[in-house]
Amino acid sequence: MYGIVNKAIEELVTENFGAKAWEDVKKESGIDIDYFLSNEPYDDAITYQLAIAASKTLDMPLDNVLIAFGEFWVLNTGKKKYGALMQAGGSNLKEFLINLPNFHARVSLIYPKLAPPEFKVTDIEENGLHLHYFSHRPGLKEFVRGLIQGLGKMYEVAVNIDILQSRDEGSTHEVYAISW
Amino acid sequence: MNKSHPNITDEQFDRLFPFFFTVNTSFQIEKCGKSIRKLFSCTEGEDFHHYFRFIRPRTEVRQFEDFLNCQGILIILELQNGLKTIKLRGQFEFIEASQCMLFIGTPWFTDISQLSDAGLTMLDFAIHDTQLDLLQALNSQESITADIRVLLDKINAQKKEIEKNAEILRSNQAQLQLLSHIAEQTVNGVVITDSFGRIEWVNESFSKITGYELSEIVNKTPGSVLQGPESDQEVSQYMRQHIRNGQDFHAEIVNYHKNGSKYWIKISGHPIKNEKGEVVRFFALEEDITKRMQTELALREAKAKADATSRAKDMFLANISHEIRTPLNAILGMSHLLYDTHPTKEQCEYLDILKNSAEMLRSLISDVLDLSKIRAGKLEVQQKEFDLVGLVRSLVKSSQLRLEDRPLSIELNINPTLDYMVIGDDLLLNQILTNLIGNAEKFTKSGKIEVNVNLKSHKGKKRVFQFSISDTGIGIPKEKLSMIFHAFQQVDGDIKRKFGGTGLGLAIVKQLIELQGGKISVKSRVGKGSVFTFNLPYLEAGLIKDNIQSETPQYKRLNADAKKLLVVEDNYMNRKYIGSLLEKWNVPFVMAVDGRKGLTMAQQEHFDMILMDIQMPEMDGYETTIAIRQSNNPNRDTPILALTASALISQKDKAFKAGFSDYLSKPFRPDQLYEKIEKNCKSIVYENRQDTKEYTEGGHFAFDKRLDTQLLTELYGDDWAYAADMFETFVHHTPTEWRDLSTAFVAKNWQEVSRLAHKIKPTFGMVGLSDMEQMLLRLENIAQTQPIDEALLNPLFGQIEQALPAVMTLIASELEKLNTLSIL
Repeated sequence: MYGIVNKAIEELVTENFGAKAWEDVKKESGIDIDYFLSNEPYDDAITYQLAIAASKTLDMPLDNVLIAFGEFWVLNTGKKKYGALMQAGGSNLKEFLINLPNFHARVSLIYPKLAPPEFKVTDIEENGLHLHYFSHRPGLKEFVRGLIQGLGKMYEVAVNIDILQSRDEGSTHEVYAISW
Repeated sequence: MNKSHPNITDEQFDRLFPFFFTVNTSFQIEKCGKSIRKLFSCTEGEDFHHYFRFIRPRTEVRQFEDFLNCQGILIILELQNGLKTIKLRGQFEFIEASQCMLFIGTPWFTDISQLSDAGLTMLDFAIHDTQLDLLQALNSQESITADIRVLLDKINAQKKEIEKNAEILRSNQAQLQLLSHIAEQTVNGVVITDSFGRIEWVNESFSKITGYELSEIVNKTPGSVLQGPESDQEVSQYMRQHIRNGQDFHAEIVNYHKNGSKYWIKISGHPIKNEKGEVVRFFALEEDITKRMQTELALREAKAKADATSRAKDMFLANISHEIRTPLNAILGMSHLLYDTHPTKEQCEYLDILKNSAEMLRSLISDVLDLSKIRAGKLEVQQKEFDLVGLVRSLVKSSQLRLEDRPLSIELNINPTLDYMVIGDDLLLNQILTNLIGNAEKFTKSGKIEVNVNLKSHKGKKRVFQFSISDTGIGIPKEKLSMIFHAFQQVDGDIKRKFGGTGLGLAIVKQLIELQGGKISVKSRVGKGSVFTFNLPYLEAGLIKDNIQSETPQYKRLNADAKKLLVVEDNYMNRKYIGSLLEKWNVPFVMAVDGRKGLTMAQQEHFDMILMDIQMPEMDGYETTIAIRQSNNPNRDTPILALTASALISQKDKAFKAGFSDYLSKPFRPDQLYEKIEKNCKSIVYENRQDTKEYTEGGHFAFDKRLDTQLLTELYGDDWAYAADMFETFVHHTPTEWRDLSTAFVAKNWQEVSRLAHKIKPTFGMVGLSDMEQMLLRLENIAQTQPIDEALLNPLFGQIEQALPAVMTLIASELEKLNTLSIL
């Protein structure tokens, strides 16, 4: 993943638990990188290790860490660093979600080393849709849930998320039934 | 549209080129794409120039010809809509069929925020349009720049830190250079070790002191190389421990040179810590202190020798003093007692002389002792009330008696205003005057001795007395005047032969006077006589009391609150002296002839006071007193008076340490003993008991047959009062003591049972309950024999307990009989 993701984890931990906690997380993860470059691709393992270490150090279940991170990613990192871009993503949640597949296709071109996930939108209705999430990265199901929750907060709508399918249960990808 | 191209609908065209528009030959806008309409409120037929301005090319496009020339080049237009300006990037193509210029392009944004400012979202762009990707790329670049900025800040901060550290390093290096220069040059050895104490560096002096070069000892601990058989292992251990704990240490230890020679070293070790506080090295300074240690050792040996000599001298003095004073005490004591045998006037005079002479002898003995004591700084100046005038008068009177047969008289002149007691040391004054008067008697053949006492000065209660003793004797040559106060110096050898004496007298006098803060001087003319004048300061203490002057003081007061005393004294004459005094004062007492017997008696009964000799066979006074004080003894808190012939203060201190409450130096006068008894017994209210002896002479009293009458007769004879005392002690103490014993028995505290049985056992014996005494002895023995045999103990305990009530009644009734007898 690009450094920006790891940076976001760093910010999440530092803002909520202090610089010392981040040092502890880093120590626990065994990762010795002082500064993550936003546009530099880093091994995915680093991100996982950081999430697992944060879970241990902050004594939180890993899923909760991932959800928190997803929300943080949208509301802090996304808004701060890609505020306009996010805004350009759509004027409401529905538009944003519908635009998500195109957005990620573009991202894959701009960041050739990123291998971003792929999204597909089906079953579009007035107040809901199905979001299909395809990724070669395992274990980020709850991170995506956090992202969707964060988007709901960004667009100030109450979101309900149900996971209809998941790779854990043998499917090829995750399907989130999102309604608002 | 060209037929070689696929036919596309307007709607598809709009999706593919949402920012298209067409302009006719009159420069009127004809059609607009769905997204460009969001950028300006365009209506058909409006003037192109009203909204658009060419940025590239910059040529004026006023004629349609000019417009046509714009084909095939990159066009940048500026769209003006009110205050908003938006750049469009694209190209114009002339469409023959509709006779218009078609613009295909897309808005050009340099920042993603401009997108929303323009009211657009991603959905407004054609999917093939890379404008958004460019924006994203631009955004990436910005985030890269942001990263670079942060990194630059970090680098700058680190650079500053490095510069600062370099500065510190430079100054540290300069300091280090200076220090290492000092370390190299100092005569002390310097060692630097790692945190485990292994040598990393030593200076030249270290090599000089130890004989080892750095290369020979690097990575070894100094101790392993330098210590040897005489190195103190405790010190070595102490240093190792401090190195382990990373603490400073200071030590002195014997080390060995490479050539095997021994030397003393003083080591100060200090840990060197890093910024985290971890010990990384040790630094030690080593000073060769061999010379100092040798001197110290020699001094210590010399001091030990001197101390031993001094102790031997002290002991010798104490012993000799004891040997001489004990018989002297008896002589003095007996002469006091003789006064009470209604002597005739003549006998009285002889007694006076006897007493004065004995006292003089005592003074002489004291001379030798005193000189040593003064020299050793061990003489204590007493501060007590005494009759100064009376003292001088009695000295002069003794002299008169001595001079009766000689053509020499003595005259006393005392200022009549000196009618008060003073506080000071009467014995020292006595010694000074005895000496000076004695000298005058000795060196004056005929004529007159004059003793004058005057007040020299006074301030508040402080009085300085001036004494002068003048004679009409042989006098002292002028050149000898300065040496007469030196020890063992007499005017000449001839004098010594003619007059005798040790030559100590005046030396002692001078030192005694100076010790008390006074001064002595002498004036003399050969053949005419000498005048010794001295001053002594005293404190005024009130008018003279008559009874103090009396030779036989009134001791009536003691009768009113008679006590029972234990006298522990091995010397027969002293026992007789003390016994007679106590009998005279109606003070009941018992005697023990040595410490061991004294202790036994003290265990059996409570006394109001114990008079204890110090030097005794078997058990001395110290041991006996310690035993009484340290055990569960009925006399644990009883005042114990030390009686000693020793004149040493060190013995007095020892006495207090042993647990004595007070101290009386032998020989003592009756009033001194009386005073001590009165002082120490004052706080105890005790039943008045008359001496029963005279009332029971010929009386017929028989103890109850159930008691061991033979033993009781042996114990008490006809001393019913003593017997009553013992019986009362039994009645008084036994119930409590038995209760304590029972408690211990129930608790199976056998050690305590044995101890208590031992303690109460003698009381049973003392009231004639010999059988029960035996039973208690068995109880005591069984209770301390392991393993404890309860099968033996229980019936024995039961037997005693069962017998006790009847026994108590019996002893109480015997006590009543004894008391009746006492009153009779």
